[in-house]
Amino acid sequence: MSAQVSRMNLVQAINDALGVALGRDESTVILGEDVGKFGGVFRATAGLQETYGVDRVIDTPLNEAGIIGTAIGMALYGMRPVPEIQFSDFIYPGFDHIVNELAKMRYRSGGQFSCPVTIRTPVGGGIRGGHYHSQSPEAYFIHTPGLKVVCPSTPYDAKGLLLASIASNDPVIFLEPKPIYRRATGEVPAGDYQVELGKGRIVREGDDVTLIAWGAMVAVCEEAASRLASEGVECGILDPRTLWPLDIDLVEAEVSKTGRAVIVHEAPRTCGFGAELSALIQERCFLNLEAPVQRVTGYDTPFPYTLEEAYLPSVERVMDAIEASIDF
Amino acid sequence: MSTERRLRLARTAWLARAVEDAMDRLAKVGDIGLPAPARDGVWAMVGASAALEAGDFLFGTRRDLPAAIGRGVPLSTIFCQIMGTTGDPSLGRGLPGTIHDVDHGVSLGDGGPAAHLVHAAGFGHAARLGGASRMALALFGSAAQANGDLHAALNFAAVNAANTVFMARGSLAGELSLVEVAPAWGIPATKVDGDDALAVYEALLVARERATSGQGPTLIDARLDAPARPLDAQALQAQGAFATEVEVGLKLEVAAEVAEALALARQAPPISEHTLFNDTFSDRPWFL
Repeated sequence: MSAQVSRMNLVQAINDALGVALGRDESTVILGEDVGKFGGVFRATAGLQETYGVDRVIDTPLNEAGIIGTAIGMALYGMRPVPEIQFSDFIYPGFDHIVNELAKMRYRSGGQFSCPVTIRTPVGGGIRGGHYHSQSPEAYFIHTPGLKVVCPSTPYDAKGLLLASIASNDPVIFLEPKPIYRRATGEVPAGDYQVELGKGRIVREGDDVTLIAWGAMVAVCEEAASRLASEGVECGILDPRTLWPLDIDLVEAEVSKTGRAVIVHEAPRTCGFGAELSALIQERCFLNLEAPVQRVTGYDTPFPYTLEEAYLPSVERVMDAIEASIDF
Repeated sequence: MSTERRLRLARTAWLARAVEDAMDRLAKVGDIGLPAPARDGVWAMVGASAALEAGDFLFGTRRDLPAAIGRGVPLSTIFCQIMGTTGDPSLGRGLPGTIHDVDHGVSLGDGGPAAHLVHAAGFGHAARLGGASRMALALFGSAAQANGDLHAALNFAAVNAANTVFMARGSLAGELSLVEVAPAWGIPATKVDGDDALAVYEALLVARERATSGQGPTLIDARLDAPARPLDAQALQAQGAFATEVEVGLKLEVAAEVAEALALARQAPPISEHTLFNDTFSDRPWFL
């Protein structure tokens, strides 16, 4: 098979995936603030309303509970809604609908009702967004039974994971790393393909230490690994892609191979997903570990504006953690 | 015709009352968890649900159990749900009254008092987009009136001309009549006596016609200032169709139905522990 391939950035890949989803299934609809006529604040939905009409790409009032609650009702009718929450920092007014309604609908009905809703929302800092345009809320949703949580780091994965999420019969929180919306570029096949949910990706092979990161932090880890390679340290990098359900077999295999793990994420450290990853690694890889699991994370403060570069995990902080692991 | 309708509605209302009485007794002896009685909303719930057609969907809280009964959910299902035994389609996962029945289009939740209103707005929006002559009915009480989800639901339903009917039932509880404030959402609103199930039924028929013909949502306020003996019973008595012996006979009849359904639910096997991990996701993941 020789599918047509184009070079695009991550947000273009998202846009491409949404177009494919709308084209392949009439029950798929997009809804959110400014997603239609305006094409989304990050242009993720640009041009889609022109192609598919106002009934498939729906501009909504500015109310996150209304957007997510409406999507739940549409799913109960039989649609596959893809609501967009403009920034993940704005998702909290809709939190009750996600945690108490969307996540529980299948369980509380004994499997009679499903809610195939994929909530897309940009996450992460590094765009001078301050408290309310920079947060990384993945842990809240991973902690809620019934939700799948996805975060791509490449255009290829973004398109394939989004198409798989929309096709899934479970609700998915699809976190889009906005700092790399345009920075991450790569080859993306045309048309419909899916990246299986629950399967991680080896970004870089390495036998000395395993770095685990997702979203915008993958590129930070790649840079750290590249610099340390010149010093003879070979870092492997694992991108889970689907944060939950995690590809635990891949994590176990990689960490057991190297005996060392460094987890990198933007969200605050305490009860961040890195804590759960660390616990899983010690439960499954204890006898293979050569050093304690290291975490490089955001700090336990609200996200700062002027000091965001000090807050976010940097290449230097990741390198320090790798060296601490190796020197243990 | 109206007498026949009133009699059918009255029978359903008495049946719902008998179910609630049984729930109350079961809770008092510790056989079930905390029930949520419909109180003064029974006649309005029964009248509203009787106007629904196949394919319509009833959204409510577990307090709206009489509407599920009026929708046709079998009494055996109702009592298996209340007792949490095999036969409950939701596998004993919800508090008494949280009926989820895909066959009858019913979802009675137990979360926020108004969350289901937004879902009803979405269902009605989808029905309108799909060109279907289906609609959503959302029931709610005064507790929902101060909740932001009520505003979100009415706003989204109005903007999207959703095939949705919203109906307040129960006690007015000191809140403003929604008829006074509904114009702010651009939704036509009607005040109906919630003690008169037939009047509620007829108001729903009008609202359903509006919704399914693309004219958008309707808001019906059927809450009561001062609950009295239901008007249906008074009207039936005035028409000579509801003599005391008829009423007593009807109550004995529904009491026997309730006793039979409760006995069957008691005899039904408990929910298997093997179902504990089912339905969290469409497929069971490695951690369950």
